[in-house]
Amino acid sequence: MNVSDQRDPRIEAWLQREAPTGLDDVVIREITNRVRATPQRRRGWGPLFAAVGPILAGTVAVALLATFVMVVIPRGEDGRPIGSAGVGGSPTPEALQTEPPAPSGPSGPMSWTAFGLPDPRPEEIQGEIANDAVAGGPGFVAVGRSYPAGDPQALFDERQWTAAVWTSVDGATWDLAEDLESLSPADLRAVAAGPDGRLLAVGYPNDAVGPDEVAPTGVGMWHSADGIHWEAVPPLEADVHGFADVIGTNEGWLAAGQPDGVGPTIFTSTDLENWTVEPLASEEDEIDGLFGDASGRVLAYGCDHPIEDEWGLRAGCGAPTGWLRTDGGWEAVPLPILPAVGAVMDGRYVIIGQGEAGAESFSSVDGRTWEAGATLPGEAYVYSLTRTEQGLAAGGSVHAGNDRFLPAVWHSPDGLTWEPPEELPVEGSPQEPTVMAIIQTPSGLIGLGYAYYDKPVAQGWIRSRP
Amino acid sequence: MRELVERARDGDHDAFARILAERGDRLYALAYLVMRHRTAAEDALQDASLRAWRDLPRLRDLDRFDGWLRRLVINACFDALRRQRRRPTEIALGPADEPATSDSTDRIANHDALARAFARLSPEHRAVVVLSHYEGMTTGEVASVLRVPAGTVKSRLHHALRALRAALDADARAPGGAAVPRQ
Repeated sequence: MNVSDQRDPRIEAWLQREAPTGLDDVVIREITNRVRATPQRRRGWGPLFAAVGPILAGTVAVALLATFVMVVIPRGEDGRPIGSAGVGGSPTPEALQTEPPAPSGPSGPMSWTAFGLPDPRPEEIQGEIANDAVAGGPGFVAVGRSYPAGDPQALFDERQWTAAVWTSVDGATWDLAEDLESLSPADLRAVAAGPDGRLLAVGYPNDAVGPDEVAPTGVGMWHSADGIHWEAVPPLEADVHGFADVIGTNEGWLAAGQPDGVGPTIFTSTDLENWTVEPLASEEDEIDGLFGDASGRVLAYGCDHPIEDEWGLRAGCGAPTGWLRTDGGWEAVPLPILPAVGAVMDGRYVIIGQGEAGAESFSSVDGRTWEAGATLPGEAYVYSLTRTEQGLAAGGSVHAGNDRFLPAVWHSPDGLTWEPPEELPVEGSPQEPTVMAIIQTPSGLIGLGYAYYDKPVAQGWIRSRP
Repeated sequence: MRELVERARDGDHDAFARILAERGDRLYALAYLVMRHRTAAEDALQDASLRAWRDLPRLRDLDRFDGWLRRLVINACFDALRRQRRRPTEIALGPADEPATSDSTDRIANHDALARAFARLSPEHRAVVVLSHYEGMTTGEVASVLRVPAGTVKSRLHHALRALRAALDADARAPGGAAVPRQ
């Protein structure tokens, strides 16, 4: 399904009639005069940071709001939750165990409970979105984006968007990390834990949310030992300004990026200081993400020769493509669909993409030949896929009728068949409440994402036995 | 156009003014449809234009200038609407402040019910409808301009169209309403 499938000629006609036919020349002259009085920003970011720095510094003074504690997740003997995976099946060392954590806790039906994440500026209209989450730091860490304190105008300049990091000891009570200055204005897309427990968050610094447009300020990687204090990874030799995804494996971190003048590239490191840079394809291709497991299976995915429109924007995909990690490097493999998410389950690669029939799943033993699985029940939009004790859990949103969407989780025992969605609770009737990440805990699941009221509100859900 | 963009990037005010002269009408229409207010749309266009001029030297791929400019306009609209939400008395998010035309032969074009339903959508949902139904963009194009996942575009469009169609259908069912078959 694409936009054209949904076009409604009545609405097209109405918009054409509603649109004004001309802009007053006076307005153009006024704009032109203001342009003539406005200096351009040349390449280089010193002046910008000089201006933004004090504003960002103000973020640490933002009062944190208390979340409401709905459920407390039992902790393991070592005091830390174990077993997790983030968006796209991003495994952490805890999640990379061959066997999933054994079920624990009392028997009985699982149920979902919603909770809020702290909003640093509840009085403002801007909001926060949690993009990914992982077990690590004090217990759990979620990353996304938020906005700096200080000059109210900063709220309306995406250049001053800053990363949002939430931490939790028990998965039920979350705090906004106070030390966000070092993350710079950024949209954090993914987070993963490495062999030594350190966390690596990746994203797009400044407003370079995609691999185009304005040159950003940093490499797009930040690391932390505790999830609270973060430090930027020094610039790499490759001219890269942002990463789409990261996973942690027993062999270190693998990040997916696209350096200037180079195609999809995997950056691998065991110490965050020395990096192996492996280009996967030509500059014409684009990489969207990657996933893997403890045994070293890794599949990166993206678009082979994206179809661009007259403005150079991606209008379609020539062919969905995967890059399979092998003993000899990386092997390009065709994929049956452009994955939205992927995970490895019992040695099988599982991907879900948005197809004509909805959210369609596929599975493969070797990553080269794919078996079509079921389409996820309901009108599903999937943003996360995680290994769980029962199999797989996909998170996203489902159309619930009457123009209403609900956050939802689909379970699968095998990656090929899918149970009807579990609809997660929301307060009121937000637009597109969505599960963006799922973490497996010893006692259940945690979902992180957002609900869109008059602004995006970072939101969480816990699935546990009452 | 590419040459004009290059010259503007290098600081040529006249080149940028020519770009505005050529693109202004369409960008203004885009802003107006999202804002539903002429003066606010002009302000949004001005904000976006200034930002485009300011940041153009750092646009890495000049071939993407048009898409980039549209995104700046959309973002300027969002910003203005957010500000207005904090001062809700200045711009009422109702039907357009004045109709663009008054052709009474086309029942649909002046559909008050549609205008009201459209105004009730969030700015983000209106933007998806405008970009897809007015600008004729595909899912991928809308996603690129708004910088959201394609799935988000689909879900927003689905939600928005359902609301708009419901308004049309309700109006068509009302006494005196125009029964228009859905395409």
